[in-house]
Amino acid sequence: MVVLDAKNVTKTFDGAIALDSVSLSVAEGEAVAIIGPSGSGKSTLLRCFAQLVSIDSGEITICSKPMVTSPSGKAVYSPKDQLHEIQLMTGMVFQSFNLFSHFSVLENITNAQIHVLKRSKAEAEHIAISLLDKVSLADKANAYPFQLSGGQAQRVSIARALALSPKVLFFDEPTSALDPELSGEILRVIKDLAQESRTMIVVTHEMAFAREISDRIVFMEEGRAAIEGTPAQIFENTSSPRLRRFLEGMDFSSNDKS
Amino acid sequence: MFLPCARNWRITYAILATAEEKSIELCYTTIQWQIALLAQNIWRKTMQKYMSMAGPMIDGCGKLLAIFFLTLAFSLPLGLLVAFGRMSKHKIISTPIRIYQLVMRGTPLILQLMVVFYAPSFLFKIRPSRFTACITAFVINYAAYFAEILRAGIEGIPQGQHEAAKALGYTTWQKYTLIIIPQVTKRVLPPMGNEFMTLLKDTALSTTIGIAELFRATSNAAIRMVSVAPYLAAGLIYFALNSIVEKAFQIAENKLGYYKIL
Ligand SMILES: Nc1ncnc2c1ncn2[C@@H]1O[C@H](COP(=O)(O)OP(=O)(O)OP(=O)(O)O)[C@@H](O)[C@H]1O
Ligand SMILES: [Mg+2]
Repeated sequence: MVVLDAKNVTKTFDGAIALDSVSLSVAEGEAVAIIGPSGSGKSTLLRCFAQLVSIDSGEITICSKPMVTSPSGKAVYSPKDQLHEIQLMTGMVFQSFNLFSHFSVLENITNAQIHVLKRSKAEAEHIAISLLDKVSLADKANAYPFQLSGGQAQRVSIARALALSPKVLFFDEPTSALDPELSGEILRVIKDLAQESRTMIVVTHEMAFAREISDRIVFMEEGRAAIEGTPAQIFENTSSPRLRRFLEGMDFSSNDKS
Repeated sequence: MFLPCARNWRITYAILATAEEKSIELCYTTIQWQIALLAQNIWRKTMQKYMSMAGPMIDGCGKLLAIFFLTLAFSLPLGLLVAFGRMSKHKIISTPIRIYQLVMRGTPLILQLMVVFYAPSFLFKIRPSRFTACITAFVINYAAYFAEILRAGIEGIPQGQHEAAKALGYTTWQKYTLIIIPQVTKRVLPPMGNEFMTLLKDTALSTTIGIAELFRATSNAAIRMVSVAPYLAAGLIYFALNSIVEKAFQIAENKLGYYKIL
């Protein structure tokens, strides 16, 4: 089953093109990594999928539910309640965590469950605690975001996204704001999720990580999904000088100390 | 037992006039007694004078508090609305609101009170009650200031909080009520404290349209008593009330001190 299907997604910011007819299809259980130079449109693409940015034209369908179509070339979004339904099927993990400062770790994970999914407080807390366990932060349930290290905060934000059981998870450079020593713990959590066959799209600059967790890698350049292939195809690619140049500039050392 | 009247004095003098040693002693005690009574009398009269001034001043405090709380009750929600209007992407909404705020912040409140009270009778031949006019002027004035504080508070919340809330499926209403406004509250407490304390003192301006609030009652008392004592008392009352306001804000800040906005 196709979880996410995007066709010819185009986005401009004040005339400057950020996404140039990007197409991408992600099947259930698949982990896709997006790599590419800075400014190539990786974040913008994820943000379009997560409905944080509206597209100019193209089509996005999530779990067979159309989010946006372009019958006459211009993007037409679905009705609000359907967009909300689709919103609940996607989860987003941000580079800067974006935990809610006024909520404890536990509340960060339960609040949306209670108010958005209308789960009972007891059920929400039960789910939150088991997720905190999973990211090894059970002892931080009552801490507040300002008391967490970057790595801990990012693990909470992953738990927060998982709590709503999204069909597809988006990670936008989940380790870029972290010290190298801390990124390992995040990569380990994401690797576990990939092993559980979670559907996910991960934007990352960690090449070793991308190679390890992904079933497929998309190389973006100047707003286009320039090259797509299995990790082996991408890393052994010799036909594209630009991809070669990009990969040569990257650090391949793994931060995963597990 | 002597009663404090002229006859008793006369008796005292009469006894004194006999000039016998024993009766002179008696006289001294009588005089002491008389003086005590006189002092008591002066004290009672003064107290009566002060109490007659205290009545209107206590009423004035009531009016002051009524203006204070009614203004807050209306201008805080209105200020929030104005803040959102000011932040609107649509110039048709944000520009008139900016102009309204400019007028409110750019002209004296005392003048606004007069305009709100007198203008309707000039323009439409309707005469608003003094109190209604007073509350209206305070509300529209303070809403303009509160709006700026709230706007700064709302715009100071990182964009990431909005994005996370949206990505988690909160509706816009839920996002503001559950995520944004609670954090804004913490942010705006210090500048709000300023405004609350200023408002409490500004209630004195309503005397210009004849509201019998504390300051007017004080002026009346001062004139009647030919004394600055009422002003001193009023100063102490304003100070005491604002000390309570300050304490309340301190408590609120402590209450919200359990987290830090990242
Ligand atoms: N909100 C915005 N307003 C204007 N331009 C934007 C906005 N967001 C992104 N852009 C532009 O779109 C292009 C793609 O940006 P994007 O953030 O998607 O790149 P990226 O591949 O994620 O880069 P990085 O690796 O540095 O995160 C850039 O040229 C950027 O300047
Ligand atoms: Mg990016």
